[in-house]
Amino acid sequence: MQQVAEIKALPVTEATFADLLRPLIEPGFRLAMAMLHDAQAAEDAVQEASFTAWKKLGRIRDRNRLRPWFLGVVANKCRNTRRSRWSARVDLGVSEEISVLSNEERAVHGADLRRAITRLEYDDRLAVVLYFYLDMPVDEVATVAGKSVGATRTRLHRAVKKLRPDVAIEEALR
Amino acid sequence: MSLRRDIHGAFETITPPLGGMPERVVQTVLADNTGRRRKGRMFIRARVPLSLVAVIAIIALVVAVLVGGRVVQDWNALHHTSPAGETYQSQLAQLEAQPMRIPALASRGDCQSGPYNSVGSYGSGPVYGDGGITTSSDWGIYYHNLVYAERNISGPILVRAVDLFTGRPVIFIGNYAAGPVAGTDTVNGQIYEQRVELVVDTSHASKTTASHKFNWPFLAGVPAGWSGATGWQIDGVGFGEVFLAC
Repeated sequence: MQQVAEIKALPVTEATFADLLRPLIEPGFRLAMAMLHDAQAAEDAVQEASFTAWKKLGRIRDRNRLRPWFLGVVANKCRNTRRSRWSARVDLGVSEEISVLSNEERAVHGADLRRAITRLEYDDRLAVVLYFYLDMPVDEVATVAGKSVGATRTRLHRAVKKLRPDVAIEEALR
Repeated sequence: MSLRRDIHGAFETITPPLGGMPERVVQTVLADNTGRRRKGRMFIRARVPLSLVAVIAIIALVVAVLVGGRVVQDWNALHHTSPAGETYQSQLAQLEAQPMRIPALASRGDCQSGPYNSVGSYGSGPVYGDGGITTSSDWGIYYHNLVYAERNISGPILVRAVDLFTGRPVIFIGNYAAGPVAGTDTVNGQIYEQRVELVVDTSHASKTTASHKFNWPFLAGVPAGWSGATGWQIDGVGFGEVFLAC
């Protein structure tokens, strides 16, 4: 608690902001890429999330929760991007690009998996990406998604069942 | 394979390298804060460098495939065709005699990437660097990187790099690799000599692109177990620069 209090006392200067934000860009971009499958859209989502971070960083009392908070902002930006006029293009582009790139069995396998994840409901997909790709613990996944831990576990179970009906759930979630 | 590993593999194949994005994103926010740019313009700016990098990476790959094998096989040929002959060699020797100015860092926390130019490339100029995609070998990882310049630079340009925490030199193979041979490695079925210097000049640059006047695509290698942080020193006639990639 002492550490949190000390951090809280620090003013959000440009240097502080830059130091706090820099390590979050990479996971933010990975999350956005996994959700949007478009590098430009992903960078835009991270950039927009960073603007939001600058405006709201001073209100984050516990800087240790900064990562899940920032990823939550990125996830919202991705959701908005998907709702915008060119979300159809993104969805269409996934399978087309993948089919062009898939000249090896592994690539085909990866493309199939990406496609399967793309077909999941948005919130299920977000949970899968955060848990399996960004390797976040379930409680952090829940924070990012704005759900309870129990609901998040349920989402993960449901998503795994859809992705790999033959895989034991507990083994997959281990 | 586990589901987790499969998902990692599936997404990592479509996620491009970050390059200078973290710094670009941060600086864009800070620039907006000081009112120097409006948000709309910045989004355009944020998009342009990534697309430029993509175009450059594709061009670099094509060029590497087309001319790679032959140019690289014989570094001496490059020397023989150097327009300035003895002057060129003398200049190169002077550059090689320059001491390394890459800072020694105590810990990873001390490592700050950069400096970057306005489009997020490494370097303070006149030569800049961009990271690229990777190729693996039994020895380590090779990055298809690029150095470029926007203006004419006379004489040789020497590039050297080291792992910031192991102190081992970054290895160069293929195009423009020069200097002492540190070993050999087989990459994509072809045997290469690993060298510890990269030497380029404007008369041996790849085709000019819309974004860069002189491009030098190259392969830089780091052994398995590298620290993940490298320091780069670029010396030319009348200039010298150092940047870190953490």
